[in-house]
Amino acid sequence: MATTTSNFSWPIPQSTDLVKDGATAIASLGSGIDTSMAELKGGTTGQVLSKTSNTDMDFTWVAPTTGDITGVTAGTGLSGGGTSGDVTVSLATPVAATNGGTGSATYTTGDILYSSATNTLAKLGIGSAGQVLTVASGLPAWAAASANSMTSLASGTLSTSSSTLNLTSISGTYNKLVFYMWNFVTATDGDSVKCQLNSDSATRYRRSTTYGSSGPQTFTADHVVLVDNMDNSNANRNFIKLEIDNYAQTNCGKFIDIKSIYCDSTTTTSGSTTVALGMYNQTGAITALNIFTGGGGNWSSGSYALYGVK
Amino acid sequence: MKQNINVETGEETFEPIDADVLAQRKAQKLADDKAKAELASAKAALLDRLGITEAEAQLLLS
Repeated sequence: MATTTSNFSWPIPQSTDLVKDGATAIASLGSGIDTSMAELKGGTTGQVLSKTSNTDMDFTWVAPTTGDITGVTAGTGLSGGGTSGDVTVSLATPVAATNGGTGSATYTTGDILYSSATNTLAKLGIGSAGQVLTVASGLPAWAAASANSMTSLASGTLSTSSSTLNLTSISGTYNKLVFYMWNFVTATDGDSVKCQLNSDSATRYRRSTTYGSSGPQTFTADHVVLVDNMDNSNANRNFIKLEIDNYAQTNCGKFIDIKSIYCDSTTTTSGSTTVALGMYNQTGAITALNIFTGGGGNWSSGSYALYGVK
Repeated sequence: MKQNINVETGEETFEPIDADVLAQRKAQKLADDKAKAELASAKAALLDRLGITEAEAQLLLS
């Protein structure tokens, strides 16, 4: 009784089969092998065997696809390559500017890339604190800020999830700080906007709307009011300007020039303007400016900008 | 919340406001509102006693 091979199911005799049936068994085996191998037959020079379907022993002789990679050569600026197996290609030198790179492999913190000539890149090292980027002989260059020039130190929008804007780590390299805040509105109607310096909440402040008063001054407030009793339904005419001269000095008290305006919600002829002087009796350099709503409610909107003035 | 901007690095962070500070600010606002109301009331009473309007009082001060 014939059985079959495990992989191709070709018929093979068992050891107990009759010898007289051997020829028939061999014929059956040969026929099975011939049928299985039929698709390996044929083909022409250069062809490769390709699977026709997922079925076992289902092949077709085909020509290799034109364009198959037979080798990778490392060009200029590259290393590696090869003609067999996995091939690695690496950058051997920085990509040139004319090929979309920078031509440079090392940088120092603060470097600025610029084009120093046609198709040529160069690095400009960081300037020193307080310098401004300018143009010299048609190229970018760092230079000392000219007198009264304003340098933007910070700008942005007031967060509506916040009631306090803290501007910290203010550089002491300028002569004056100028702070603008506009289109601001508080979530609470009738709220005020106040400020402190250096996050100092002690009673070291005084606000005067009378210039020139020379009598003894007492510092009874823990803040300076910038805008008071605001109508919170109108934002687009509100504006505050603060100026703090000699803010980096460490041997004198500080004063804040305050100018502000807000208009009510229904008319541009009614509102409030403030021209006041805020005084702070501490001598330390000002490194932080703290602006907050008087009642602790959040901002509804607003933008701000802080400048250093030489 | 406090919106903290590090001017030197540009980093923006938020942190809660101390509850005592917030309570103090709210109390301060109430006190301010009360003082303003009292001032307005006193001003109105004085104008009434003088028998002049606020505009006329402003004229005297100008």
